[in-house]
Amino acid sequence: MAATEKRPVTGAGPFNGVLTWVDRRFPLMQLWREHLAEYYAPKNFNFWYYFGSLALLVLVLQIVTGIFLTMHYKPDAAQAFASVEYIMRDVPGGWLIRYMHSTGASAFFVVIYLHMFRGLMYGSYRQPRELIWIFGMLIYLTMMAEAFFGYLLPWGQMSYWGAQVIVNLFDAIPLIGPDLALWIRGDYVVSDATLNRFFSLHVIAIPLVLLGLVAAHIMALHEVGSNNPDGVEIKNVKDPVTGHPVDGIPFHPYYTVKDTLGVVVFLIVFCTIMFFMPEFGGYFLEYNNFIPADPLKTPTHIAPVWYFTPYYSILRAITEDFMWVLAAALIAYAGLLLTATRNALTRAAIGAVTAVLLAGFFTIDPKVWGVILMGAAVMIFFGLPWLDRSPVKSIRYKGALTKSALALFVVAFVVLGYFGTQPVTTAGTVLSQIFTLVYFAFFLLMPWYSRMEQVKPEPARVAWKGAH
Amino acid sequence: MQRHAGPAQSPLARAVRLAAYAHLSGVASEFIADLVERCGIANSFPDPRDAALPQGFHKRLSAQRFFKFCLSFRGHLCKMALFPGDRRNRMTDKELDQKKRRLLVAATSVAGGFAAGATAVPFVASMLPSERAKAAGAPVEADIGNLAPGEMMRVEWRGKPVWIVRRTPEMLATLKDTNDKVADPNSVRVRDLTPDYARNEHRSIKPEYLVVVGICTHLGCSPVDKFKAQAEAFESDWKGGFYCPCHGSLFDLSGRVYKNKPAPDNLPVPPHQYVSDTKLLIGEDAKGA
Repeated sequence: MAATEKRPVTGAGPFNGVLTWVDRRFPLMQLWREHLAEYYAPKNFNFWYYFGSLALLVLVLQIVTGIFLTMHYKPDAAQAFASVEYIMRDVPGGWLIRYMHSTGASAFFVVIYLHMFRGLMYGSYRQPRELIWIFGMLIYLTMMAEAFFGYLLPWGQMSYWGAQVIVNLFDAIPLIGPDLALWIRGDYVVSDATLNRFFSLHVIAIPLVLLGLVAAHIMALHEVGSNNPDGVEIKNVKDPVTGHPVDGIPFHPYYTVKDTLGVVVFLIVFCTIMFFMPEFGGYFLEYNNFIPADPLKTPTHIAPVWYFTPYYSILRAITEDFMWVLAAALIAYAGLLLTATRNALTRAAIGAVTAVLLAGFFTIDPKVWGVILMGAAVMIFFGLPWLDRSPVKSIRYKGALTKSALALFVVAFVVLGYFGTQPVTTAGTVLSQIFTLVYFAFFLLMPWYSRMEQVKPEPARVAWKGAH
Repeated sequence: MQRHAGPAQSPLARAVRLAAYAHLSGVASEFIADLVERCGIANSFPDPRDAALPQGFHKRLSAQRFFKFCLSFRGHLCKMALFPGDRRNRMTDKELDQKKRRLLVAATSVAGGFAAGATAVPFVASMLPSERAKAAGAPVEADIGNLAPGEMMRVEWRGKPVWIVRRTPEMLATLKDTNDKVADPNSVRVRDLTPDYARNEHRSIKPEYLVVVGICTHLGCSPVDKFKAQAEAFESDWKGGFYCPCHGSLFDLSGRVYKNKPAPDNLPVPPHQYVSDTKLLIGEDAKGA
């Protein structure tokens, strides 16, 4: 757009002149309008809609604290542990910055898990928001990588052995596994070379990817518009005069103010934890990580940080005996799929895939299947937009089946998470195995239970207690 | 970690070599295209589209010369009636232009893709173990003279813990009981993990001394020694051995893995030899292999 066609900026008082100057050279007002002042968001956002903006806040917090930690940290196996102690004891305010960063890491996952749960409840992944969901899942994967690489840096016992275990997951991949693990480590064991590259990935490579994905996530969101607790499209009912959705309100000032309140409450909780219990009972900072890394001695109990433990439980649940249960479950599921399709070719494909998997179950190590199922447990989220076949989006209008399934899934996630923090016991293993099945059933049976249940009719407009 | 081979034989190194060959073959094909141009072979298939092109179009880049060769070769095939009716002749200039453009774009993308791939090679290769890391894998010597019966010592070899256990006759006797409990009593499942001289019940050269790499074959934790035969939380009928705290794998006093545990294999026995009765060399077989 030619600069002369733009109207001068108004409403900024003494800054009108400078903003007009900028706007003629940069789409300042257009960005402001499209993403804030004239981005119409549904008026019925509730508590669950705080976590998106909180995630953005924590991201900024992690980047800023990370920059300052990098000024004092030494990515060297001989000095890393001591440099973290140096930050904690000698750098002015270093302890605060480090606790902000370590508490921030856990807070990031708390916020993201609640944000994802919101999406699960209100069907925010449904058409036309599939790409928002996919970008979001990519952000989640990237965050996991970021957390994993960052966790090695303090070079404590848990850092060291956690990295050893996770890198060895790649070792389980048939054929290329050992070489791949060697390539990731850059040495035959986790060592200085590994620490140095993890530092590089943690402070620059992954954050850049993360920022790009966050931008894509928000751009896709602002393209299609936000979902809401009712799961109805506000764009369907527009004001004939203004063309704006009747049930929408501008993001700024309405939701910027609402989110500011969320930020205040969040920071109260965050600061309480950061100042009074930064280790959070060994869940945010594990006790074993206060011992320097010793390549010759594994701690008696090792567990990843809490946000990885559900997947870690799934990994540990896959034993030789459990392969029989998995095989039975696979056959049952294949049977279910066969009843759902008439196409001969599809049926043959289902049969072939089942046969190959069954053969694999008993020829390839259970360890490999543990790794595969752990990966599948994360990746299966990507399929949600296509697994949910319900005629309605929001849990408010879905039936008892979906509600119980979601509740069971949350229980499974929490139980798996709990057992992932505990040493191996027989009872723990059996429970982990049961809830591993529940976890996968939630996703894999969704095409059936989401379609067969009785749903309530969706309203044409959002239900809101205020004025209509 | 079980293999002692350096990365020279690894698939990654192979991929690096292959990419280099691919790059070379790209260079070679350009050279051939040039050669074809010089010998005038390409011109022996007159291309009706030449008239529509600006002067010297084909002379600009050797890659373009190569495409021209491809085009004329196709023209030749048409003449050989592989494409009956030579559809080319019925095309309008615009269609021809579009087709040529598509071919050029596709060919440039392929060549560019190769170049990008080749550029990635040094970056990927830089993450392989360095020469220093490879050199650190030298054999180490352990003095076992002071090791009391029933005790264990650790030495570091290639950054990994190597355990040396001096087993008592009672400890050796438990191996008979665990034969039925372990998954691979004769260490035959993955032969690389156990040298031939240790492929026996006690998995060692001298029955008394066990030498194993103390890294669980599951995900690389270092198991804990639980030598006392007594009821344990993880196994009521425990005969003594090693317990991995990470995922609960159990190993008997020969480092043989129990059945139905996450770890698939026995603890690896490193190549080793006795230099004297009290000196052990870890990392090198007697054969020097």
